[in-house]
Amino acid sequence: MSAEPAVRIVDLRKIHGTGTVAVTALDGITLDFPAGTFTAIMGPSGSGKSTLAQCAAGLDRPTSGEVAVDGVLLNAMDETELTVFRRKRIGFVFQAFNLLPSLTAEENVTLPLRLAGARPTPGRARVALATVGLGDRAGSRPSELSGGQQQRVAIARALVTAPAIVFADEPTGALDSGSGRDVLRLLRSLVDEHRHTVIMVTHDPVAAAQADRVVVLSDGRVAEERTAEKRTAEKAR
Amino acid sequence: MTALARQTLRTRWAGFLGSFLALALGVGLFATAGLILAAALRGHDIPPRWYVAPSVVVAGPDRAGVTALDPADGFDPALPPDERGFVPAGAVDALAGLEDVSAVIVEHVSYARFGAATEARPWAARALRPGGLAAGGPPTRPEHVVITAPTETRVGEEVTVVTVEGPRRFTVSGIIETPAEPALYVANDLAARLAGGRVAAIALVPAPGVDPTTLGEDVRAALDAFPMLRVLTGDDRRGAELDPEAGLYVGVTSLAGSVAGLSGFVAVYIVAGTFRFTVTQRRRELALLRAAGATPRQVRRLVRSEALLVGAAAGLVGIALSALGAPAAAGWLAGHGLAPTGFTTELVWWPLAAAYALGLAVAVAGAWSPARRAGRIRPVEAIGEATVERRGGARAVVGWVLGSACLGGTIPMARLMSGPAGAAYLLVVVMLLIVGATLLLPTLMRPVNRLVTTGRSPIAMLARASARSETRRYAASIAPVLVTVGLAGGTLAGTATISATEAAGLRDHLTAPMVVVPAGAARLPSGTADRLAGLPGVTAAVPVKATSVFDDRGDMVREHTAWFVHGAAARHVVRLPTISGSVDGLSAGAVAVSASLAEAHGWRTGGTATLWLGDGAAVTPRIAAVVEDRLGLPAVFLPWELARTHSTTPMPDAVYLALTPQAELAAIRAAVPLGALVTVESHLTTLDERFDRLNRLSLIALLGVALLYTAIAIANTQLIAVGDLTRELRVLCQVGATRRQALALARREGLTVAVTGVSLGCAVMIGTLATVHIALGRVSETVRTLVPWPPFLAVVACCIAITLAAGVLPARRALRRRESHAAGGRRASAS
Ligand SMILES: Nc1ncnc2c1ncn2[C@@H]1O[C@H](COP(=O)(O)OP(=O)(O)OP(=O)(O)O)[C@@H](O)[C@H]1O
Ligand SMILES: [Mg+2]
Repeated sequence: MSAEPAVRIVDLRKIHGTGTVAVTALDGITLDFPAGTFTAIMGPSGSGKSTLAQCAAGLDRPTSGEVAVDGVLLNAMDETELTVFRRKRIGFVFQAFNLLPSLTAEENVTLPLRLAGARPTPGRARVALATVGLGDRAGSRPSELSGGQQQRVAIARALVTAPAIVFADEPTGALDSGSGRDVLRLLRSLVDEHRHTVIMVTHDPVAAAQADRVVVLSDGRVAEERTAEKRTAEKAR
Repeated sequence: MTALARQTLRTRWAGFLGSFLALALGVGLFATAGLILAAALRGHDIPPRWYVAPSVVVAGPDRAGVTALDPADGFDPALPPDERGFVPAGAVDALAGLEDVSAVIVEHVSYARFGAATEARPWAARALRPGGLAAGGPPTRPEHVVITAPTETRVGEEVTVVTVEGPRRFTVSGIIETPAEPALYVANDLAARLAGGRVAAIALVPAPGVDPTTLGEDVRAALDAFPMLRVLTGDDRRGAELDPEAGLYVGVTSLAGSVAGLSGFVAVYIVAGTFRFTVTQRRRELALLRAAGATPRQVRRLVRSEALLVGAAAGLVGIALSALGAPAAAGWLAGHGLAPTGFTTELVWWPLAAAYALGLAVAVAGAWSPARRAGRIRPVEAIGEATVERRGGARAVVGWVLGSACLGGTIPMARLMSGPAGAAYLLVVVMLLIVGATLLLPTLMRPVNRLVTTGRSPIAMLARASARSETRRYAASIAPVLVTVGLAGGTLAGTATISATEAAGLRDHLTAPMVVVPAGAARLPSGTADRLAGLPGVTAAVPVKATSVFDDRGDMVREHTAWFVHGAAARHVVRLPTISGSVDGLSAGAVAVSASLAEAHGWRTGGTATLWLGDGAAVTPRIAAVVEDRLGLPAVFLPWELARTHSTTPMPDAVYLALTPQAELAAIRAAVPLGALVTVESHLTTLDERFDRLNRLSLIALLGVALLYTAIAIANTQLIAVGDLTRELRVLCQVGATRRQALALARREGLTVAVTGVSLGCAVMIGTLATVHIALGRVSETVRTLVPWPPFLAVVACCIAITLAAGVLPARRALRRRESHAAGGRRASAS
């Protein structure tokens, strides 16, 4: 009885800039992301994928339309309420530039906990880092890590608060196929084992194949929506 | 958040070095000024030099504005440093019947110059000082004098002493050895006569076994009828002595006060700018924090805790700097005659504590608005490459309003500046203009930027684009150049214009062709003018002595400049723009006052003025004339007769002469052996030079360090900015720019910053001059605009050189490093 979707967006519009330089990034998008599903968002460059993910995750404010997470409307919240809500419920992995350069990998990972006022045990960060295969690099700074490793630290950080919903903006974009597969498997297991909700932006059809559902954007609108039969079939078995 | 702040500081110390440096130097500067101030104030705390043996001393007032009904309080201004209050003769009688007193010594002090001594005192007063006769005996006859050792002169020798009445022959009857100051001791009657009967102080020596403090209470009670007199015991008795260095202490105090004010301003200005800039630079990092779940409040707290930590550490360094800087500064001041010889500072806690607290306050205040801005950073900004900050409409409006308010604030300042303490407001005007220009910087710099970056070359195109989009980086780099050039230009040109106009005003009004001034260190005798007036061909001989008077407008007692002048003859030597009445009527019991003074009190010709003279005595003279306010002329003209009774040394500074063609200069010279007869023009030139030298030295003291500080700040911000620039240049090189082209862009950016800053600094100078013009236009016939070009251009050249060097050299190094990396291959980076 999954009546309540994890994320529901209604008639979402986002216009960047004003006047002559205004760019309509999202042009009226209505979508539900049911709890415990893995959705891939695809589409050509500039079609609004990142904008959609950011608005849905409460990182950015839409120009109009509604975003509800777990049935709670984000539009009405002020910055602080939104941040605290996000901190508890949502994890986010950016396309690039994810880590604070002055903090070690471990400190980066525990940052959301510390911001929430918790005193993280070292073990918790190690576990999160081990999950992404970086258990031995806890003390490294971002400048000492490769691009793919940085990306994996960012995923560990997104997961450390055990958020119910994880957004990932091209998480495998900078990774080789091996580590890309690891990351995908990780995201997949979040859904399968913990019934978390994952929404992933990607260009890669292989990555998209891991998803339960694929949403294709074009010029800020939903161009196509399809359920990945293979997955569903696999699941049914 | 504090833990996170500490961590960010530890790992990103290079980024905070700029703020740290700015704060440490600011605190150091402020603490140095504070230590000098403390030393100048403490200058009066040393034990008495005259009243060494136990005694109770009754002295006249040391403040103006005191009446029988209104005893002295801390708000009343001190008397001029070379004037003392006197004890009325009645006080001596009132003390006559007192018990427990072994001796009452009436100190008649008068000007007398021989060797190192400058005062004649009664022989009786010798009992108050330790030491005794080393040779000879006491002065028993009027022509006897006792001098103090060490001296070349022998007992029995004849000497010439310059007294108030003129040179006088004495026979040395004895020599005393004493740790007290050198002085000439003469027979008691003669001391009284030379002092014009005026009593400088009464010293009561307690009978054996009597405590001076207890005696002091009896004395106070006995002097019930004289509330304005001071009864002093212990070290307080120093207050009864005229300190020859008091003027210098006053000068150092006000100089140190100005330096403290200016350094406080510069520190706030630079530190606030640096913090703002660092926050701008860390925009993406802060956005990332927001994305990772930091609330706006947490981001604000982070920025503020960082500032507090930087402030706490930088304050310590600043205090350490001042511990080194203050003695050096004191030595410099003493060496250049701006402070008493041997002027030194001590490490006193309160200026250091004040400076430290100021440092913390500046850090917190400086980070306040950047922190608020940081809190408004949106999490999505972490993602984009672009860190360009859109300037919100509301913010721009606030900047405009505040900036215009600062510029407009100079208009009321112009009114204040035409008042007596005008020059003091000059700094305020300059500061207002600088702050105003800085707030309007985003708007003001645009046209200049465009001008500097014209051209069709790709470099010009790139420079134009970055000046347009990187407004914050440009504004941050321009600000220290603006403050340096504005401060130097405004202060230098403003002071020079004020003093040139003042000198010109005095020149315009003096009509006398010749003047007699002291030839050496000895002053002109009081009767000089009378003697000269009798000579053939001398139409008028007018003695003039500068002094101060005080008025009370109900809220506070203020000091004004005044001249003692021979009234009836004055019109022959000085052209006075009288509005009503005539200075011919300036005789005993009458004064002439300036229009502004008359207006403030509602005084009219024929009415009565209420004033305090330099000796603190309240007088109510008739108003003989009201004179227009003129720069160079005093606010009040006092009749010469008052000098005899109210001036500590009733001897003229100069005697102005009006002559007929029959006048014999040789006869005039012969009549004044201690004087030099010179033209008024050459006398004024000498005065100007002396004044200019002092003025220049104080300006160096005031501006020098502040400019050094801002110059360092220029380099500092350039170095912070260059990080961004280098990133840009690297990208440029990747897309095919040669190293030479990249460096040309760096140079162009440095030049744009320098030229814009210098132009706006010049605008501040012009604004200052305009304000000075408006202010002086009210009180002088012509305003002489004077810009001291050599020092100003030197400051400008330094600014340009520093901006270019600090902008281009690190970029050059960074680019070279990149090349060597490329050449060295992977191995170097792997190690
Ligand atoms: N801050 C911004 N200001 C102006 N326009 C923007 C801004 N951010 C995005 N846009 C525009 O909005 C549109 C959607 O951008 P978005 O980043 O969502 O695209 P995307 O689908 O994620 O593309 P990509 O696959 O290249 O990452 C684009 O046309 C982009 O130019
Ligand atoms: Mg994208």
